[in-house]
Amino acid sequence: MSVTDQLTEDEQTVFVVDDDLSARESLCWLLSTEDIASRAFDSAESFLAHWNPDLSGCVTVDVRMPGKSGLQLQEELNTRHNLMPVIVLTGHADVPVAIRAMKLGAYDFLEKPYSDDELLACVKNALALGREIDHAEIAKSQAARALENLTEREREVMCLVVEGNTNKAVGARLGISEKTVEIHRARVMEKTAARSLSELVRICLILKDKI
Amino acid sequence: MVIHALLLCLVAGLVLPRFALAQADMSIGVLAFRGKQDAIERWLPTARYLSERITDYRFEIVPLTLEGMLDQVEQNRLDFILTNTGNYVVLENAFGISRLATLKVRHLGAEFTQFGAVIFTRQDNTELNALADVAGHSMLAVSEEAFGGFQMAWRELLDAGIDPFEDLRLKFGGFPQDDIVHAVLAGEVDVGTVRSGTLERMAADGLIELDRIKVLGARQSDVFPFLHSTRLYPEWPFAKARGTPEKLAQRVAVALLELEPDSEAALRAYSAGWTIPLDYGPVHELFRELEIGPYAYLGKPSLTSVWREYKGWIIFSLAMMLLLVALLILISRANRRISQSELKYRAEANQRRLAQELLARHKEELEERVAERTAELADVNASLRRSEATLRAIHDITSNAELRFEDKLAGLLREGCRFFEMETGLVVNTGGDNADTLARVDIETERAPVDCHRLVQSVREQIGISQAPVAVSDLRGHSFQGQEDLCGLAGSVLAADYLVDDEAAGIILFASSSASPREFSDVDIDILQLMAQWLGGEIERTEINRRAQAHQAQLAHVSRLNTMGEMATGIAHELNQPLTAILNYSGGSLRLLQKRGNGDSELHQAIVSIGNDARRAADIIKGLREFIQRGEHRRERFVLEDCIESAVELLRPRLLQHDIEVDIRRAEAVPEIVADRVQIEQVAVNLLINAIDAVCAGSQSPKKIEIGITRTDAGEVAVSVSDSGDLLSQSVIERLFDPFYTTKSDGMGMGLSISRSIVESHGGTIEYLVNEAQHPTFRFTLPVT
Repeated sequence: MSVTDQLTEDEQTVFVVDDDLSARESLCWLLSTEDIASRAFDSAESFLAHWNPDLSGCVTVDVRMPGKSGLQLQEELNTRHNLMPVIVLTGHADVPVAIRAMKLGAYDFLEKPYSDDELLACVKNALALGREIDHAEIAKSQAARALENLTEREREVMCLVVEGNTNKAVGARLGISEKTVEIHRARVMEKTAARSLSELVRICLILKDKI
Repeated sequence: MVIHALLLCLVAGLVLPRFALAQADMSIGVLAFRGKQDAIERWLPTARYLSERITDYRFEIVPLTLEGMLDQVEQNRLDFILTNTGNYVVLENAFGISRLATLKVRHLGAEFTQFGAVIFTRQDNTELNALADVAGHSMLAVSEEAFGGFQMAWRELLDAGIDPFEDLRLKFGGFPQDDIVHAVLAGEVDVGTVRSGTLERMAADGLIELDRIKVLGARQSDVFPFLHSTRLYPEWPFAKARGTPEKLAQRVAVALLELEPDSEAALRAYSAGWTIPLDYGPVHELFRELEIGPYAYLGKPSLTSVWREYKGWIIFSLAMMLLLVALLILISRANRRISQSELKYRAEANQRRLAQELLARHKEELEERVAERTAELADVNASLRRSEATLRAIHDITSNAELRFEDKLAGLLREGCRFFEMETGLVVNTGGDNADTLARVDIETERAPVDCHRLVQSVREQIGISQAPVAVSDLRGHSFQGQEDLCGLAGSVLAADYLVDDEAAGIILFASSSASPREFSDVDIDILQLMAQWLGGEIERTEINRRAQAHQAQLAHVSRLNTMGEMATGIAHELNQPLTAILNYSGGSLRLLQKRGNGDSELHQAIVSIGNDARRAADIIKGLREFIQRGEHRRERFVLEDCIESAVELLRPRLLQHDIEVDIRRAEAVPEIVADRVQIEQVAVNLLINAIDAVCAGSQSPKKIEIGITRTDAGEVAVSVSDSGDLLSQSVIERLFDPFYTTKSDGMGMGLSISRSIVESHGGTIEYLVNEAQHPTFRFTLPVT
């Protein structure tokens, strides 16, 4: 189940959304000095056109832009179930705007001009968080695939086993012999690649909505 | 299906007891610089506040020393960290903690998010006048690790060419800092350094006298009033540990930002709550320069030259300021024109008509009586003719629109003196505690003028008791109820009180030093009362006018402040973009230089200077904005409809001029709101002015503006202003709320931009839309509380 090696920092991109050309380009350049890949967008609309659920990394967004504002972009990303952390940048910080950004789930809120130390630390932490989220998502889809391959009977056995029943009790509930339960149980473990009962419980927990 | 149900039960059984029922514990590590007990007392209310706001967690305080803090953070035992600025930056660098909010410290009655340190000596020490002079002298500080108590001063001394460890006899005395101040004043050491504000607090407590202290290397700041010798650094941050869940950190940040300044949690922390985290970059710079904390590894940098290239920015800022002032003058002229209100004239005409009707009525009555009595008594007839002439005179005086109030008053009194055959007439305002003479007329005689002071008091009491005018033609042998003999003061007196807003506000009084040659009649008293009535009405009208003008002046003032604030915000936004770019490039360049190992220290220093100067330019802009926006919001509870109506009333002359119909529709059960009433009225005025211009430019007829006040599904209050003008084009809609964007030949392009700022600062939204009737509409919402 280990997935840490499937994603590397190289595949992550910082999506820079800012209507000001120099602010946008200079930020991308600053990121490049730390070998962080980035891609610039001049409006919320152009980023939304590019967005898809498989993007990996984080987003930096300016609050004040013509057309959709940064906060409206955050709202739109939330309705699309975006998982990338969003860092909000603003030229004029005031408390109501900060509170709204935070309530919309902003990862952080930085006032322009920010110090490069601060911005880079923030972006790096956001990318690390993005990786964790990606891993959790991959684990979820792998577990889902594993469960899809189970037969109806194997699924029944798994549910009862996970609930804490002994093989004997499971056999009694389903009207089959203990020996048959053991066989089903072994196939469940094999198909889900679970190494222990607790790992099986975890897979079920991850997918509690889907079963 | 059975399986699904089974599994759901199983999952519920597994998950619920562990995650929903039990509260999880969250530890807040707190730096206890004055001992554990003090730290707990100071921060426990904050932990309780967080537990109340975020009910699924329980927050607890863990008081720690500097070393303890390092251990606990390293071993991942803390979820949140509350520590001093210097320690925060060390932990941020080493363990990736990150700040959520900055403390607003309350000190001597004001709030500060920054602090510094002061370096000082005794006032009578003539050898020491600047930081550079302290070499070879003794100095006392808190400790080598103390950020405000030593490290800030260390940086400034280094900048002045002094290494405190080599060039000074340096001693550390620990807390409290008061001991350092006493040691310097007692002459035990030459120089001391303490956190800013310490000296002012000791002076306020009467422990020291500030004029015995000489500050070395003093700096000035518009926003920071305390003596300080060092740069300013941000106050304590509230930070989260690397492993703390992001969602929880956001909820904590929001809770901290919403902490009321007067709550127990804020007061016990000696604070006014929390604000958006400040930039801790300057602290990084300090550590980098001192080669301590996270930068202990750095090589020795040279700090010598200041690059002057960025003077351009300052000149540009000043030019912008001048532009601001010029625009301000334009606005104030425009406002003055608006305030030539037709309201005033209508109210005046109305009052005049009432007074005239009153006079006409009395004239009729008097003429009737004249007719009756002419037949009977010739002398009475003569007196009535005289009174008729007087009435005409009074009518002429009071209805003359060209006379000022004071002139009318004097004319009235003169006419009264002539008619009643008295020497002195006066009007006294008795509304306040003291009698206040509004006007006095003395007919020249050879006798000394009457002393009215005591007379007024006695007459006033008498009128208060009898509730009727006083008319005594011969005071000899006459005594008022419970009063001493008044014949020493005057010979005769005639007085009545006048009412303003149905309350006795003053009296009109005529007096003579000798007895009157005739008895006062009903006609005399009628005329006296007529004068009193006119007087009360006139004062009431003046008061209403004054209030209306004060309201308009306030609106104009707020409008000017808003315009300035909005322009500053617009300029700040435009300037901050290139400044951000400069800082990105200079920061990146330093990183590249370091990475490639180029030892070109001159180039390195120049790039550092570029960054410093860009930051300085940003600080100037920020200072300018803070200066302009210092005006506070006054929140009050009011009915939105009243506020909208008052805006419509203000623009009534324009609406009449262009023959525009205004329709206000209010839904049922719209609650009162809590907001800055004048600001909201400003938004309504802005939207109405736009609507008036739109219907005038449009082709539709009849010209019509509709205002709707409703409650939204989200429980907010919404105001929509729609007009019969043309719909806006897409290109205009895109830039509608941008500052300085306008479609009018005489517009500044600030109205909608200001409106948006006001509405957003109240937590509401504003938008343009097309309503069901296909009319252009501006709609704003405001939260109820």
